[in-house]
Amino acid sequence: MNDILKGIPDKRQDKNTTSLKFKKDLISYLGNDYKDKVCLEIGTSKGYSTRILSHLFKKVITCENNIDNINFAKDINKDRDNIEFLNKDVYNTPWDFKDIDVVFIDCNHEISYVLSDIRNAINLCRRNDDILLIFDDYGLDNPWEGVKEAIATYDNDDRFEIVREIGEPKGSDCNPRALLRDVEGVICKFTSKVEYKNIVFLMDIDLKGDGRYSSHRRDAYKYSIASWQKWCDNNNSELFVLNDLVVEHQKMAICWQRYYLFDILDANDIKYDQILMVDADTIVHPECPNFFDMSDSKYVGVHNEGSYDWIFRSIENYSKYIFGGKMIDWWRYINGGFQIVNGNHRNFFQNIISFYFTNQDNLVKLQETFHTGTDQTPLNFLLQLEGIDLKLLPYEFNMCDLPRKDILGEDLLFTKVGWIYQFNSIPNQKEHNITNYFMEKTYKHFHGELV
Amino acid sequence: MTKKNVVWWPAVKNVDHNDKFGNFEYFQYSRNTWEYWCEKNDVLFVPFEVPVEDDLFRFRINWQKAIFVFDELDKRNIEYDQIALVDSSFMIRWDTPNFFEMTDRKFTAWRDTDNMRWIHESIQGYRDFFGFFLDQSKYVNSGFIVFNENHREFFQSFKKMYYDNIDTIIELQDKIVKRGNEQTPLNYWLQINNVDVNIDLPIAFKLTHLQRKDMFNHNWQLDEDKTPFFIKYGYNFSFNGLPKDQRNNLMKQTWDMIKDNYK
Repeated sequence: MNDILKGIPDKRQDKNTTSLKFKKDLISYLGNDYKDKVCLEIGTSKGYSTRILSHLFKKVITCENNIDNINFAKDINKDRDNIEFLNKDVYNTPWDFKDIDVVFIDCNHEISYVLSDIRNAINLCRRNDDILLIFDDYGLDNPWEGVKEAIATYDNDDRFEIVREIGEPKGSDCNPRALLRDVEGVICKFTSKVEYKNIVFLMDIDLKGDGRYSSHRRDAYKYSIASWQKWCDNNNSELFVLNDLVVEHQKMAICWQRYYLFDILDANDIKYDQILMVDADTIVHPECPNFFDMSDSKYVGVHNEGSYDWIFRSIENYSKYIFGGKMIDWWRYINGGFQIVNGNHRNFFQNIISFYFTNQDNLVKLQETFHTGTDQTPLNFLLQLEGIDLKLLPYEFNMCDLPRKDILGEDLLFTKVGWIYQFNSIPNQKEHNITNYFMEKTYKHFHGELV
Repeated sequence: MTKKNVVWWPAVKNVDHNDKFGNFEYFQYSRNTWEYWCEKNDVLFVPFEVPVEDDLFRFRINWQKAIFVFDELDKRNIEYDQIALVDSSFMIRWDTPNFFEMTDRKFTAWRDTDNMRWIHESIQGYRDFFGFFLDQSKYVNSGFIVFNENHREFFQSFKKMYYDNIDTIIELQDKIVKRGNEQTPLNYWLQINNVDVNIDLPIAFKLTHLQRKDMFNHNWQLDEDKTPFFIKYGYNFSFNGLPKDQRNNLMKQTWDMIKDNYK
C-alpha cells in the first residue's frame, strides 16, 4: 500500500484531492478483487486518485473538462499505462461507456449534478449485475445541497445501498474550509438484479357534473387507458391510473395534482424506474417505440406544436403576472400531457407544489382571467428557470392539435405518421363528441372492440 | 484568404408565373433583410437570379437552386466555408444569431411538420420511384438548409439523379404526386445516402406556415405590444403556406413594419 501511496499528498496539503485515509480505505476495500475490472472516474482533477485507481484496476477511464488538469494528471501518471484520459464534459455529453464495473464520482458536488452522475452511473450497470459507485466529499459542509442529499434520494430504493464509509470521519479538519459534517466518502452498490419497472401514470378522476373533469368528458378515457395497458404489457411497464384526488379540487386544479406523483407512488408502495405522466385524452399506437429507452435518464417532453398565439399569450401573461418579467425559450416549451421523469425529479416536483401554494391566488386569478392554461406554462417556466436538463422527443410522441396538421380525418392518417395521439384542440365540438368519436375509432382501429 | 460563409439566395423571375406571384416584387423585401444580415455577420450574399437551364418547366428553380449550387459558386470563383441555401420567401430578423456557428459543420435543416398530410402524400408519391421507406420524422424543409464542401458530392449526385430521370420526375411532380418539387426527392436522397443531418436547431430559425401556427397575431390580452408574434419571437420567417398572391403584400407590410431596424 505504501508503494501505491508514495508521493501522493493528503487532503490537508491539497484540498482538491481526497485524504490519505480515504485512499487507504479504498485500497483496503477493493484489494485485489478488481484487478480484472474497469473503473470510470468522473472528475480527474490532478490525477492523484486516478493513480491509486490505476493500481487497483485493469483499466481506468478518467473524464475531465479542464485541459490543464488533464495535462497535469497525465504528467504525474506518465509511468502508468492503463489510464485513458478523456477531455469530456460529463454533463452535456452522453456516457457512452461499456463494461464499466466501478464509477468513482468526484466532480460537481451540487445536488443536481450529483443526481445526474448517479443516474448515468447506474445506467452503466449490466443487466442482472452490480455496479459500485464511489463518492468523495459525502460529508463536505457546503451551504448548498450536495452529495449526501443526492444519495439520500435513494433511501427508499432497494437497489441502492451504502456499503462502506471511507476516509476521514465526521468532524475531521482535513478540509481547511470547514469541518466535515459527515464521513468524507462512501462506497455504494447498485444492483440491477432487483428490477424496477417503468410506470405509465394517468389520471382519470370523476368529479361529476359539468366541466373539464365531468363524467361526460371522461367517456372515452377508457379507450386511452386500455391502449396504454396494452402498450405497457408489451413494453415491460406498469400502468397506474389515479382515480382519486389528492387535494380537494377547489384548492388545486386536478392537473396541478399530478405533481404529487412521487408521493402517490410511495403511498401505493410502487417501485419505479422512470415514469411517464400522460394525459387521458391520448391513444398510443401499439407499436410505439419504447420512449423510456430514449430518455437518457433526463426529464423528457415534446414541444407543443399547436397554436402559437395561445402559447405566446400564455408565456407573456405568466411572465408578467407570475414570473417577474422573465422569459423562456419558446421552442423548448413542452406539452404537459407527456412528461417522462425519474427519481431525480422528486425535488423538482416538490418545488412545483410549493410554487403552487405560494402563488395560488395569483395563479387562479390568472387562469380565470386569461384562460391560457393551468399548470403547463408554469411548468415550462420552472423547468427552464431551474435549469432542469430537458430532452425533447419528436412531435410523433405527443401529437397534439391534430387538425392543425391536416391529419385528423376518417382515414385516421395520424395513425400512419406518429405514435401517440392527443385528441385536444379540436374545434367545433359539442360536449367533446369529436374527441370521444376519434378516441373510440382509433382504439378500435388498433384493437377491435373494448372488452 | 479566409473562406467566408455564403448565403445562396435563389430569386429567378419566371415570367410565366408573374401573375401568380405578383411580378415577384417580394424578392426585394427578402433581399433587403438578407443583405443586411450578411453584412452584419461577415457573410457573402450570393443571389441566384439567372437560371442555368433556361427551360424553367423542365428545370424548376427549386431544382436548379439545389443541383447547381456548387457549379455556380465555382463558376463565380467564390471561396466558401459553409453555404446557407435560403428561399426568397424568407425574411431574416435583423438580430438573428449567426446560425453558421451552430451547425457543428453538419448538413443542417429543420423538420417540416406543418401540413403532415401533404408531406405524407408526397412521400408516398415518390416511394416507388426511390424504392425506399423514408422516415417522415426526419423529413426536412428544403427552403433553408446549411451545408459545406463535404456535401458537394451529395449535391452532384442529386443533380445526376435528376438528369438521369428528368422525364419520370417531371411526370411525378406535375401529373401524379403534385406535392412539391425538389423537397421530397431531396429528403429521399438525404436518407438514401445516409447523410448526417442536424435537425436540432430551434425552429425560430425556420418559421414556416405562419398562418397555420397563428403567428400573425399579437398578445391582444395584454395589448401592450402589437408586434406580430412571428417578428417578436422568430428569427427567419417564411411567407409560405399562404395563397401566393398574398405574398407580396404580406412581405411588404412586414418590411414596412421592421425596416428601421436594418439601417
